[in-house]
Amino acid sequence: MQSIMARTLDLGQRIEICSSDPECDLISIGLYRCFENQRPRFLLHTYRQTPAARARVDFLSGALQTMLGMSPCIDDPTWIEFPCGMGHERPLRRSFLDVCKIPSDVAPCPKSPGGFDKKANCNLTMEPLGDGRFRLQPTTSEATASRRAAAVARGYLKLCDLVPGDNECEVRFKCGTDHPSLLAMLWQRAQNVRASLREDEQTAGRGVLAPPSQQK
Amino acid sequence: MSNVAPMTSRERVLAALRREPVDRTPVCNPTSVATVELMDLVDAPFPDANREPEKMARLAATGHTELGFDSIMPVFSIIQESSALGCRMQWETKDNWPTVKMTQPIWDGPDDIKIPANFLTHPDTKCVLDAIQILRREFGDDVCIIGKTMGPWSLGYHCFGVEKFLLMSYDDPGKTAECLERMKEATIQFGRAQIDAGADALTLPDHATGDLVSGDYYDRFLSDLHTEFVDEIPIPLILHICGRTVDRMGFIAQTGMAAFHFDSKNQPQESMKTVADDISLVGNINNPETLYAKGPEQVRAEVFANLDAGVRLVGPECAVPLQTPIENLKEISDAVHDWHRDHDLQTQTPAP
Repeated sequence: MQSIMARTLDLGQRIEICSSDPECDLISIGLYRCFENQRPRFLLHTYRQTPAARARVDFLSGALQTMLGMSPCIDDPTWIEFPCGMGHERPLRRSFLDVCKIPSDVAPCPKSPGGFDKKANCNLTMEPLGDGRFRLQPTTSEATASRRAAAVARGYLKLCDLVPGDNECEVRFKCGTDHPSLLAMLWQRAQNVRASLREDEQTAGRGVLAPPSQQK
Repeated sequence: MSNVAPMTSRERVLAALRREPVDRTPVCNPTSVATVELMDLVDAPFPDANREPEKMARLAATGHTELGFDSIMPVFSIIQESSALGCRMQWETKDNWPTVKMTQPIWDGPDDIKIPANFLTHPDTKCVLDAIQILRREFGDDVCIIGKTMGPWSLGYHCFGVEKFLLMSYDDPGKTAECLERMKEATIQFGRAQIDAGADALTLPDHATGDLVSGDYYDRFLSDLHTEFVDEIPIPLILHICGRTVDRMGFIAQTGMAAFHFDSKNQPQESMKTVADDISLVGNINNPETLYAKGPEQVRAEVFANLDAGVRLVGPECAVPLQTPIENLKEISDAVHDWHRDHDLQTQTPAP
Protein backbone atom coordinates (compact mmCIF):
# COMPACT_ATOMS: atom_id res chain seq x y z
CA MET A 1 0.00 0.00 0.00
CA GLN A 2 1.28 3.44 -0.90
CA SER A 3 1.44 6.29 1.56
CA ILE A 4 -1.58 8.50 1.08
CA MET A 5 -1.21 12.26 1.23
CA ALA A 6 -4.29 14.14 2.34
CA ARG A 7 -6.52 14.45 -0.69
CA THR A 8 -9.81 15.62 0.72
CA LEU A 9 -10.83 19.13 -0.30
CA ASP A 10 -12.28 22.10 1.49
CA LEU A 11 -15.47 22.53 -0.49
CA GLY A 12 -17.59 24.24 2.12
CA GLN A 13 -20.43 22.43 3.81
CA ARG A 14 -21.85 19.28 2.33
CA ILE A 15 -25.62 19.63 2.52
CA GLU A 16 -26.73 16.44 0.79
CA ILE A 17 -25.29 13.24 -0.52
CA CYS A 18 -26.27 10.55 -2.95
CA SER A 19 -24.32 7.82 -1.22
CA SER A 20 -24.40 5.23 -3.95
CA ASP A 21 -25.34 6.17 -7.50
CA PRO A 22 -26.66 3.09 -9.29
CA GLU A 23 -26.28 4.90 -12.62
CA CYS A 24 -22.49 5.18 -12.23
CA ASP A 25 -20.50 2.47 -10.44
CA LEU A 26 -22.19 3.21 -7.08
CA ILE A 27 -20.12 6.35 -6.60
CA SER A 28 -21.07 8.84 -3.91
CA ILE A 29 -21.87 12.37 -5.02
CA GLY A 30 -21.99 15.22 -2.56
CA LEU A 31 -23.84 18.50 -2.91
CA TYR A 32 -21.66 21.18 -1.35
CA ARG A 33 -22.50 24.76 -0.47
CA CYS A 34 -20.26 27.72 0.13
CA PHE A 35 -20.81 31.47 0.21
CA GLU A 36 -19.20 34.05 -2.04
CA ASN A 37 -19.97 37.60 -0.91
CA GLN A 38 -22.74 36.11 1.25
CA ARG A 39 -24.32 34.58 -1.83
CA PRO A 40 -24.77 30.78 -1.67
CA ARG A 41 -23.36 28.68 -4.46
CA PHE A 42 -23.34 24.94 -4.96
CA LEU A 43 -21.00 22.27 -6.26
CA LEU A 44 -21.48 18.62 -7.07
CA HIS A 45 -18.43 16.57 -6.19
CA THR A 46 -17.36 12.97 -6.09
CA TYR A 47 -14.09 11.72 -4.67
CA ARG A 48 -14.06 8.90 -7.20
CA GLN A 49 -11.49 9.98 -9.78
CA THR A 50 -12.50 8.07 -12.88
CA PRO A 51 -13.51 9.58 -16.21
CA ALA A 52 -16.97 8.02 -15.83
CA ALA A 53 -17.41 9.56 -12.39
CA ARG A 54 -16.36 12.99 -13.64
CA ALA A 55 -18.71 12.71 -16.60
CA ARG A 56 -21.56 11.71 -14.30
CA VAL A 57 -21.00 14.73 -12.06
CA ASP A 58 -20.94 17.02 -15.09
CA PHE A 59 -24.14 15.47 -16.34
CA LEU A 60 -25.93 15.92 -13.00
CA SER A 61 -24.70 19.48 -12.61
CA GLY A 62 -26.06 20.22 -16.08
CA ALA A 63 -29.33 18.50 -15.20
CA LEU A 64 -29.79 20.72 -12.15
CA GLN A 65 -29.26 23.77 -14.32
CA THR A 66 -31.70 22.58 -16.94
CA MET A 67 -34.38 21.32 -14.61
CA LEU A 68 -34.20 23.85 -11.77
CA GLY A 69 -33.23 26.99 -13.64
CA MET A 70 -29.84 27.27 -11.96
CA SER A 71 -26.85 28.74 -13.75
CA PRO A 72 -23.04 28.52 -13.57
CA CYS A 73 -21.30 31.12 -11.42
CA ILE A 74 -19.55 33.71 -13.56
CA ASP A 75 -16.19 33.54 -11.79
CA ASP A 76 -16.13 29.74 -11.52
CA PRO A 77 -18.55 27.81 -13.73
CA THR A 78 -17.96 24.55 -11.85
CA TRP A 79 -20.18 26.06 -9.15
CA ILE A 80 -23.85 26.77 -9.77
CA GLU A 81 -26.36 29.15 -8.22
CA PHE A 82 -29.93 30.32 -8.37
CA PRO A 83 -30.39 33.55 -10.31
CA CYS A 84 -32.13 35.16 -7.32
CA GLY A 85 -29.02 34.72 -5.18
CA MET A 86 -30.83 32.70 -2.52
CA GLY A 87 -30.08 29.12 -1.49
CA HIS A 88 -33.48 27.38 -1.60
CA GLU A 89 -31.68 24.52 0.06
CA ARG A 90 -34.59 22.37 1.02
CA PRO A 91 -36.07 22.02 -2.46
CA LEU A 92 -32.58 21.89 -3.96
CA ARG A 93 -31.54 18.97 -1.76
CA ARG A 94 -34.65 17.03 -2.61
CA SER A 95 -34.34 17.80 -6.31
CA PHE A 96 -30.68 16.80 -6.26
CA LEU A 97 -31.59 13.34 -4.96
CA ASP A 98 -34.28 13.01 -7.61
CA VAL A 99 -31.95 14.17 -10.39
CA CYS A 100 -29.41 11.53 -9.30
CA LYS A 101 -31.94 8.89 -10.37
CA ILE A 102 -31.80 10.03 -14.01
CA PRO A 103 -29.61 7.80 -16.19
CA SER A 104 -26.82 9.61 -18.01
CA ASP A 105 -28.17 8.55 -21.39
CA VAL A 106 -31.46 10.37 -20.85
CA ALA A 107 -31.41 14.03 -21.80
CA PRO A 108 -32.70 16.10 -18.88
CA CYS A 109 -35.49 18.49 -19.71
CA PRO A 110 -37.54 20.85 -17.58
CA LYS A 111 -40.78 19.43 -16.27
CA SER A 112 -44.04 21.21 -16.74
CA PRO A 113 -45.68 22.54 -13.60
CA GLY A 114 -49.03 21.05 -12.79
CA GLY A 115 -50.91 18.22 -14.42
CA PHE A 116 -53.66 15.75 -13.80
CA ASP A 117 -54.34 15.05 -10.15
CA LYS A 118 -56.12 11.81 -9.40
CA LYS A 119 -57.61 12.92 -6.09
CA ALA A 120 -58.92 16.16 -7.59
CA ASN A 121 -60.07 14.24 -10.66
CA CYS A 122 -59.03 17.15 -12.85
CA ASN A 123 -55.94 19.08 -13.93
CA LEU A 124 -54.23 21.39 -11.47
CA THR A 125 -52.21 24.22 -12.92
CA MET A 126 -49.60 26.48 -11.37
CA GLU A 127 -50.63 30.00 -12.22
CA PRO A 128 -47.81 32.54 -11.80
CA LEU A 129 -48.94 35.77 -10.11
CA GLY A 130 -45.58 37.56 -10.21
CA ASP A 131 -43.02 38.39 -7.52
CA GLY A 132 -42.55 34.71 -6.63
CA ARG A 133 -46.27 34.04 -6.05
CA PHE A 134 -48.14 31.08 -7.53
CA ARG A 135 -51.69 29.85 -7.31
CA LEU A 136 -52.75 26.21 -7.54
CA GLN A 137 -55.72 26.33 -9.86
CA PRO A 138 -58.07 23.38 -10.53
CA THR A 139 -59.68 23.20 -13.95
CA THR A 140 -63.07 22.48 -12.41
CA SER A 141 -64.96 24.41 -9.76
CA GLU A 142 -65.90 21.41 -7.65
CA ALA A 143 -65.25 21.68 -3.94
CA THR A 144 -63.16 18.49 -3.93
CA ALA A 145 -60.84 19.94 -6.52
CA SER A 146 -60.42 23.18 -4.56
CA ARG A 147 -59.64 21.28 -1.37
CA ARG A 148 -57.13 19.20 -3.25
CA ALA A 149 -55.46 22.30 -4.68
CA ALA A 150 -55.10 23.65 -1.17
CA ALA A 151 -53.61 20.31 -0.03
CA VAL A 152 -51.00 20.39 -2.79
CA ALA A 153 -50.19 23.99 -1.87
CA ARG A 154 -49.59 22.82 1.71
CA GLY A 155 -47.32 20.12 0.29
CA TYR A 156 -45.25 22.80 -1.39
CA LEU A 157 -45.07 24.77 1.85
CA LYS A 158 -43.60 21.73 3.60
CA LEU A 159 -41.21 20.66 0.89
CA CYS A 160 -39.97 23.93 -0.50
CA ASP A 161 -39.75 26.35 2.43
CA LEU A 162 -42.33 28.55 0.72
CA VAL A 163 -44.59 30.88 2.61
CA PRO A 164 -48.40 31.02 2.32
CA GLY A 165 -49.90 33.47 -0.14
CA ASP A 166 -53.12 35.41 0.14
CA ASN A 167 -55.31 32.31 0.27
CA GLU A 168 -54.90 28.62 0.95
CA CYS A 169 -54.21 27.81 -2.71
CA GLU A 170 -51.41 30.36 -3.02
CA VAL A 171 -47.72 29.97 -2.18
CA ARG A 172 -44.88 32.43 -2.38
CA PHE A 173 -41.08 32.26 -2.62
CA LYS A 174 -39.50 34.41 0.07
CA CYS A 175 -36.98 35.75 -2.45
CA GLY A 176 -39.79 37.27 -4.51
CA THR A 177 -38.53 35.57 -7.68
CA ASP A 178 -40.50 33.14 -9.80
CA HIS A 179 -38.99 29.65 -9.85
CA PRO A 180 -41.41 27.71 -12.04
CA SER A 181 -38.80 25.02 -12.79
CA LEU A 182 -38.27 24.35 -9.10
CA LEU A 183 -42.00 23.99 -8.52
CA ALA A 184 -42.35 21.77 -11.55
CA MET A 185 -39.52 19.54 -10.39
CA LEU A 186 -41.26 18.92 -7.08
CA TRP A 187 -44.79 18.71 -8.44
CA GLN A 188 -45.21 14.98 -7.90
CA ARG A 189 -43.73 15.15 -4.44
CA ALA A 190 -46.06 17.96 -3.42
CA GLN A 191 -48.91 15.71 -4.49
CA ASN A 192 -47.59 12.91 -2.28
CA VAL A 193 -45.96 14.77 0.55
CA ARG A 194 -46.45 12.04 3.15
CA ALA A 195 -44.74 9.49 0.94
CA SER A 196 -41.85 11.93 0.52
CA LEU A 197 -41.51 12.39 4.25
CA ARG A 198 -41.62 8.61 4.79
CA GLU A 199 -38.86 8.23 2.21
CA ASP A 200 -36.82 10.84 4.07
CA GLU A 201 -37.12 8.86 7.30
CA GLN A 202 -36.02 5.64 5.64
CA THR A 203 -33.06 7.35 4.00
CA ALA A 204 -31.98 8.96 7.25
CA GLY A 205 -31.56 5.57 8.96
CA ARG A 206 -29.44 4.08 6.20
CA GLY A 207 -25.74 3.82 6.99
CA VAL A 208 -26.23 4.35 10.71
CA LEU A 209 -24.79 1.48 12.72
CA ALA A 210 -27.25 0.37 15.38
CA PRO A 211 -26.20 -1.74 18.35
CA PRO A 212 -27.23 -5.40 18.00
CA SER A 213 -30.12 -4.86 20.39
CA GLN A 214 -31.70 -2.40 17.97
CA GLN A 215 -31.01 -4.28 14.76
CA LYS A 216 -33.78 -6.17 13.02
CA MET B 1 0.09 19.61 29.02
CA SER B 2 2.31 22.09 27.21
CA ASN B 3 5.29 20.98 29.28
CA VAL B 4 5.26 17.54 27.74
CA ALA B 5 7.70 17.01 24.87
CA PRO B 6 6.11 16.52 21.42
CA MET B 7 4.79 13.01 20.95
CA THR B 8 3.96 10.83 17.98
CA SER B 9 0.31 9.99 17.50
CA ARG B 10 0.95 6.50 18.83
CA GLU B 11 2.76 7.73 21.92
CA ARG B 12 -0.02 10.24 22.56
CA VAL B 13 -2.84 7.71 22.43
CA LEU B 14 -1.01 5.10 24.47
CA ALA B 15 -0.03 7.64 27.12
CA ALA B 16 -3.64 8.82 27.40
CA LEU B 17 -4.80 5.23 27.73
CA ARG B 18 -2.32 4.84 30.61
CA ARG B 19 -3.63 8.13 32.10
CA GLU B 20 -0.18 9.69 31.74
CA PRO B 21 0.58 13.27 30.66
CA VAL B 22 0.33 14.04 26.93
CA ASP B 23 1.47 16.92 24.74
CA ARG B 24 -2.16 17.39 23.64
CA THR B 25 -5.37 15.43 23.89
CA PRO B 26 -5.34 12.64 21.31
CA VAL B 27 -8.05 12.44 18.67
CA CYS B 28 -9.00 8.80 18.83
CA ASN B 29 -11.48 6.52 17.09
CA PRO B 30 -12.02 3.23 18.89
CA THR B 31 -14.68 2.54 16.24
CA SER B 32 -15.09 3.24 12.54
CA VAL B 33 -14.77 6.66 10.91
CA ALA B 34 -15.26 5.28 7.41
CA THR B 35 -17.62 7.18 5.12
CA VAL B 36 -18.85 6.64 1.59
CA GLU B 37 -16.78 9.58 0.33
CA LEU B 38 -13.61 8.19 1.90
CA MET B 39 -14.42 4.84 0.28
CA ASP B 40 -14.46 6.61 -3.09
CA LEU B 41 -11.31 8.54 -2.35
CA VAL B 42 -9.25 5.38 -1.91
CA ASP B 43 -11.40 3.03 -4.00
CA ALA B 44 -12.19 0.79 -1.06
CA PRO B 45 -15.97 0.53 -0.77
CA PHE B 46 -18.10 -1.61 1.52
CA PRO B 47 -18.69 -4.52 1.49
CA ASP B 48 -15.25 -5.30 0.01
CA ALA B 49 -13.50 -3.17 2.62
CA ASN B 50 -14.91 -5.48 5.28
CA ARG B 51 -13.61 -8.57 3.56
CA GLU B 52 -10.37 -7.72 1.73
CA PRO B 53 -7.38 -6.76 3.87
CA GLU B 54 -5.78 -4.31 1.40
CA LYS B 55 -9.01 -2.38 1.05
CA MET B 56 -9.75 -2.57 4.77
CA ALA B 57 -6.31 -1.11 5.54
CA ARG B 58 -6.55 1.53 2.83
CA LEU B 59 -9.92 2.79 4.00
CA ALA B 60 -8.94 2.71 7.68
CA ALA B 61 -5.78 4.72 6.98
CA THR B 62 -7.85 7.68 5.83
CA GLY B 63 -8.86 8.26 9.45
CA HIS B 64 -5.28 9.38 10.03
CA THR B 65 -4.21 10.71 6.64
CA GLU B 66 -7.38 12.62 5.81
CA LEU B 67 -9.17 13.28 9.08
CA GLY B 68 -6.19 13.84 11.36
CA PHE B 69 -6.96 11.16 13.95
CA ASP B 70 -4.09 9.86 16.06
CA SER B 71 -5.36 6.32 15.68
CA ILE B 72 -6.27 3.97 12.86
CA MET B 73 -9.06 1.45 13.41
CA PRO B 74 -9.60 -1.02 10.57
CA VAL B 75 -12.40 -3.14 12.03
CA PHE B 76 -15.32 -1.08 10.80
CA SER B 77 -18.11 -3.50 11.61
CA ILE B 78 -19.11 -5.66 14.58
CA ILE B 79 -19.61 -8.90 12.70
CA GLN B 80 -16.22 -10.28 11.65
CA GLU B 81 -16.03 -12.90 14.44
CA SER B 82 -19.70 -13.78 14.15
CA SER B 83 -19.15 -14.60 10.51
CA ALA B 84 -16.23 -16.84 11.47
CA LEU B 85 -18.37 -18.51 14.15
CA GLY B 86 -20.88 -19.48 11.47
CA CYS B 87 -23.60 -16.85 11.73
CA ARG B 88 -25.63 -16.06 8.63
CA MET B 89 -24.53 -12.74 7.24
CA GLN B 90 -26.00 -9.95 5.22
CA TRP B 91 -23.02 -8.12 3.76
CA GLU B 92 -25.13 -5.30 2.38
CA THR B 93 -23.91 -2.69 -0.11
CA LYS B 94 -21.55 0.23 -0.14
CA ASP B 95 -23.75 2.57 1.87
CA ASN B 96 -24.96 0.28 4.60
CA TRP B 97 -23.51 -1.84 7.39
CA PRO B 98 -23.16 -5.58 7.21
CA THR B 99 -25.31 -7.36 9.75
CA VAL B 100 -25.82 -10.76 11.28
CA LYS B 101 -29.16 -12.37 10.51
CA MET B 102 -30.09 -12.68 14.14
CA THR B 103 -33.46 -14.14 13.27
CA GLN B 104 -31.54 -17.24 12.20
CA PRO B 105 -29.55 -18.06 15.36
CA ILE B 106 -26.89 -20.75 15.26
CA TRP B 107 -26.84 -21.71 18.95
CA ASP B 108 -29.48 -22.74 21.45
CA GLY B 109 -27.57 -23.48 24.65
CA PRO B 110 -24.10 -23.75 26.18
CA ASP B 111 -23.40 -27.14 24.65
CA ASP B 112 -23.80 -25.71 21.16
CA ILE B 113 -21.02 -23.20 21.70
CA LYS B 114 -17.93 -24.32 19.90
CA ILE B 115 -15.17 -22.07 18.66
CA PRO B 116 -14.32 -23.50 15.22
CA ALA B 117 -10.79 -24.73 14.65
CA ASN B 118 -10.48 -22.30 11.74
CA PHE B 119 -11.74 -19.34 13.76
CA LEU B 120 -8.58 -17.30 13.21
CA THR B 121 -7.99 -18.45 9.65
CA HIS B 122 -11.55 -17.84 8.47
CA PRO B 123 -11.44 -15.16 5.72
CA ASP B 124 -13.41 -12.63 7.78
CA THR B 125 -11.17 -12.81 10.87
CA LYS B 126 -7.99 -13.25 8.86
CA CYS B 127 -8.89 -10.13 6.90
CA VAL B 128 -8.65 -8.12 10.11
CA LEU B 129 -5.33 -9.68 11.10
CA ASP B 130 -3.85 -9.07 7.66
CA ALA B 131 -5.10 -5.49 7.60
CA ILE B 132 -3.48 -4.77 10.94
CA GLN B 133 -0.19 -6.19 9.64
CA ILE B 134 -0.40 -4.01 6.54
CA LEU B 135 -1.07 -0.90 8.62
CA ARG B 136 1.74 -1.67 11.04
CA ARG B 137 4.14 -2.06 8.11
CA GLU B 138 2.90 1.14 6.52
CA PHE B 139 2.80 3.40 9.55
CA GLY B 140 5.49 1.88 11.76
CA ASP B 141 5.43 3.36 15.23
CA ASP B 142 3.91 6.69 14.20
CA VAL B 143 0.23 5.94 14.61
CA CYS B 144 -1.72 3.96 17.17
CA ILE B 145 -3.37 0.97 15.53
CA ILE B 146 -6.50 -0.13 17.32
CA GLY B 147 -8.06 -3.52 16.69
CA LYS B 148 -11.38 -4.84 17.90
CA THR B 149 -12.56 -8.02 19.56
CA MET B 150 -16.21 -8.45 20.39
CA GLY B 151 -17.21 -9.28 23.93
CA PRO B 152 -19.31 -12.35 24.77
CA TRP B 153 -22.51 -10.43 25.46
CA SER B 154 -22.49 -9.05 21.90
CA LEU B 155 -21.58 -12.46 20.50
CA GLY B 156 -24.51 -13.86 22.45
CA TYR B 157 -26.89 -11.48 20.68
CA HIS B 158 -25.48 -12.52 17.32
CA CYS B 159 -25.34 -16.27 17.89
CA PHE B 160 -28.49 -16.80 20.00
CA GLY B 161 -30.59 -13.86 18.81
CA VAL B 162 -31.23 -10.78 20.93
CA GLU B 163 -34.60 -11.74 22.36
CA LYS B 164 -33.62 -15.29 23.18
CA PHE B 165 -30.36 -14.29 24.80
CA LEU B 166 -31.98 -11.62 26.93
CA LEU B 167 -34.79 -13.96 28.00
CA MET B 168 -32.24 -16.59 28.93
CA SER B 169 -30.46 -14.02 31.10
CA TYR B 170 -33.73 -13.41 33.01
CA ASP B 171 -34.92 -17.02 33.16
CA ASP B 172 -31.69 -18.88 33.73
CA PRO B 173 -28.80 -16.71 34.89
CA GLY B 174 -26.60 -19.76 35.50
CA LYS B 175 -27.00 -20.98 31.93
CA THR B 176 -26.29 -17.47 30.66
CA ALA B 177 -23.11 -17.27 32.70
CA GLU B 178 -22.03 -20.61 31.28
CA CYS B 179 -22.65 -19.36 27.75
CA LEU B 180 -20.65 -16.20 28.40
CA GLU B 181 -17.84 -18.27 29.87
CA ARG B 182 -17.63 -20.37 26.74
CA MET B 183 -17.98 -17.48 24.29
CA LYS B 184 -15.23 -15.48 26.00
CA GLU B 185 -12.71 -17.81 24.33
CA ALA B 186 -13.53 -16.22 20.99
CA THR B 187 -12.92 -12.77 22.46
CA ILE B 188 -9.57 -13.81 23.89
CA GLN B 189 -8.37 -15.73 20.84
CA PHE B 190 -9.19 -12.96 18.40
CA GLY B 191 -7.76 -10.30 20.70
CA ARG B 192 -4.47 -12.09 21.15
CA ALA B 193 -4.19 -12.74 17.41
CA GLN B 194 -4.55 -9.02 16.75
CA ILE B 195 -1.77 -8.30 19.23
CA ASP B 196 0.43 -10.71 17.29
CA ALA B 197 -0.54 -8.92 14.08
CA GLY B 198 0.60 -5.58 15.50
CA ALA B 199 -2.32 -3.92 17.26
CA ASP B 200 -1.42 -1.38 19.95
CA ALA B 201 -4.78 -1.44 21.69
CA LEU B 202 -8.13 -3.15 21.26
CA THR B 203 -11.68 -1.94 21.38
CA LEU B 204 -13.87 -4.46 23.17
CA PRO B 205 -17.53 -3.78 22.40
CA ASP B 206 -19.89 -5.65 24.67
CA HIS B 207 -23.36 -4.36 24.04
CA ALA B 208 -24.83 -4.44 27.51
CA THR B 209 -26.55 -1.27 26.40
CA GLY B 210 -28.37 1.08 28.70
CA ASP B 211 -31.72 0.50 27.00
CA LEU B 212 -31.84 -3.25 27.70
CA VAL B 213 -29.42 -4.10 30.48
CA SER B 214 -29.22 -2.45 33.89
CA GLY B 215 -26.11 -1.47 35.79
CA ASP B 216 -26.74 -4.29 38.25
CA TYR B 217 -26.91 -6.73 35.39
CA TYR B 218 -23.58 -5.47 34.15
CA ASP B 219 -22.06 -6.07 37.55
CA ARG B 220 -23.61 -9.54 37.89
CA PHE B 221 -22.76 -10.91 34.46
CA LEU B 222 -19.93 -8.93 32.95
CA SER B 223 -17.67 -7.00 35.31
CA ASP B 224 -15.73 -10.10 36.38
CA LEU B 225 -15.43 -11.27 32.78
CA HIS B 226 -14.16 -7.89 31.71
CA THR B 227 -11.61 -7.92 34.53
CA GLU B 228 -10.49 -11.31 33.26
CA PHE B 229 -10.01 -9.94 29.76
CA VAL B 230 -7.58 -7.37 31.13
CA ASP B 231 -5.38 -10.24 32.36
CA GLU B 232 -5.85 -12.45 29.33
CA ILE B 233 -5.37 -9.84 26.59
CA PRO B 234 -2.22 -7.96 27.53
CA ILE B 235 -2.61 -4.60 25.75
CA PRO B 236 -4.77 -1.59 26.59
CA LEU B 237 -8.45 -2.46 26.21
CA ILE B 238 -11.13 0.09 25.38
CA LEU B 239 -14.56 -1.08 26.47
CA HIS B 240 -17.38 0.15 24.25
CA ILE B 241 -21.01 0.14 25.35
CA CYS B 242 -23.60 2.32 23.65
CA GLY B 243 -26.32 4.31 25.36
CA ARG B 244 -26.80 5.76 28.79
CA THR B 245 -24.25 3.95 30.96
CA VAL B 246 -23.47 6.22 33.90
CA ASP B 247 -25.12 3.66 36.19
CA ARG B 248 -22.37 1.14 35.38
CA MET B 249 -19.38 3.40 34.78
CA GLY B 250 -18.31 2.92 38.39
CA PHE B 251 -18.18 -0.86 37.87
CA ILE B 252 -16.44 -0.45 34.52
CA ALA B 253 -13.80 1.78 36.06
CA GLN B 254 -12.88 -1.03 38.46
CA THR B 255 -12.31 -3.66 35.76
CA GLY B 256 -8.79 -2.52 34.92
CA MET B 257 -9.75 -1.66 31.35
CA ALA B 258 -7.63 1.19 30.01
CA ALA B 259 -10.55 3.22 28.71
CA PHE B 260 -14.29 3.37 28.32
CA HIS B 261 -15.70 4.56 24.99
CA PHE B 262 -18.79 6.44 26.08
CA ASP B 263 -21.93 7.62 24.37
CA SER B 264 -23.18 11.20 24.14
CA LYS B 265 -26.22 10.18 26.18
CA ASN B 266 -23.79 10.61 29.09
CA GLN B 267 -22.60 14.13 29.80
CA PRO B 268 -18.79 14.51 29.89
CA GLN B 269 -18.78 16.17 33.32
CA GLU B 270 -20.98 13.61 35.07
CA SER B 271 -19.06 10.77 33.42
CA MET B 272 -15.69 12.10 34.53
CA LYS B 273 -17.02 12.52 38.04
CA THR B 274 -18.36 8.96 38.05
CA VAL B 275 -15.16 7.24 36.92
CA ALA B 276 -12.97 9.41 39.17
CA ASP B 277 -9.88 8.97 36.97
CA ASP B 278 -9.83 5.21 37.57
CA ILE B 279 -10.17 4.74 33.81
CA SER B 280 -9.67 6.97 30.76
CA LEU B 281 -12.75 8.12 28.93
CA VAL B 282 -12.85 8.37 25.15
CA GLY B 283 -15.66 9.93 23.16
CA ASN B 284 -18.23 11.32 23.08
CA ILE B 285 -19.12 13.43 20.02
CA ASN B 286 -22.69 12.69 19.05
CA ASN B 287 -23.15 10.81 15.78
CA PRO B 288 -26.73 10.95 14.52
CA GLU B 289 -27.47 14.55 15.36
CA THR B 290 -24.14 16.35 15.39
CA LEU B 291 -21.61 14.64 13.15
CA TYR B 292 -24.17 13.43 10.66
CA ALA B 293 -26.66 16.25 10.52
CA LYS B 294 -25.17 19.44 11.92
CA GLY B 295 -22.13 21.48 11.01
CA PRO B 296 -18.56 22.09 12.13
CA GLU B 297 -19.57 24.73 14.69
CA GLN B 298 -21.68 22.27 16.64
CA VAL B 299 -18.96 19.62 16.38
CA ARG B 300 -16.48 22.09 17.79
CA ALA B 301 -18.77 22.92 20.71
CA GLU B 302 -19.01 19.26 21.69
CA VAL B 303 -15.27 18.76 21.39
CA PHE B 304 -14.70 21.73 23.68
CA ALA B 305 -17.23 20.41 26.20
CA ASN B 306 -15.28 17.15 26.41
CA LEU B 307 -11.93 18.89 26.69
CA ASP B 308 -13.26 21.28 29.33
CA ALA B 309 -14.47 18.27 31.32
CA GLY B 310 -11.03 16.65 31.15
CA VAL B 311 -11.95 13.73 28.89
CA ARG B 312 -8.61 12.18 27.96
CA LEU B 313 -9.28 11.09 24.36
CA VAL B 314 -11.74 12.78 22.04
CA GLY B 315 -13.56 11.18 19.12
CA PRO B 316 -16.97 10.06 17.87
CA GLU B 317 -19.18 8.18 20.31
CA CYS B 318 -19.52 5.12 18.06
CA ALA B 319 -19.02 4.10 14.44
CA VAL B 320 -19.95 7.19 12.45
CA PRO B 321 -22.81 6.99 9.94
CA LEU B 322 -21.45 6.18 6.50
CA GLN B 323 -22.88 9.40 5.08
CA THR B 324 -21.18 11.66 7.64
CA PRO B 325 -19.68 14.78 6.01
CA ILE B 326 -15.91 14.81 5.90
CA GLU B 327 -15.70 18.41 7.08
CA ASN B 328 -17.40 17.49 10.36
CA LEU B 329 -14.94 14.70 11.04
CA LYS B 330 -11.96 16.93 10.23
CA GLU B 331 -13.35 19.51 12.61
CA ILE B 332 -12.77 17.19 15.58
CA SER B 333 -9.02 17.32 15.09
CA ASP B 334 -9.01 21.03 14.23
CA ALA B 335 -11.01 21.84 17.36
CA VAL B 336 -8.69 19.83 19.59
CA HIS B 337 -5.67 21.66 18.17
CA ASP B 338 -7.33 25.06 18.58
CA TRP B 339 -8.46 24.32 22.15
CA HIS B 340 -4.91 23.39 23.12
CA ARG B 341 -3.44 26.40 21.35
CA ASP B 342 -5.69 28.69 23.38
CA HIS B 343 -5.31 26.87 26.69
CA ASP B 344 -1.59 26.20 26.40
CA LEU B 345 -1.06 29.89 25.60
CA GLN B 346 -2.98 30.78 28.73
CA THR B 347 -0.81 28.53 30.87
CA GLN B 348 2.33 30.06 29.35
CA THR B 349 1.23 33.67 29.91
CA PRO B 350 2.63 35.03 33.20
CA ALA B 351 0.03 36.19 35.67
CA PRO B 352 -0.19 39.98 35.87
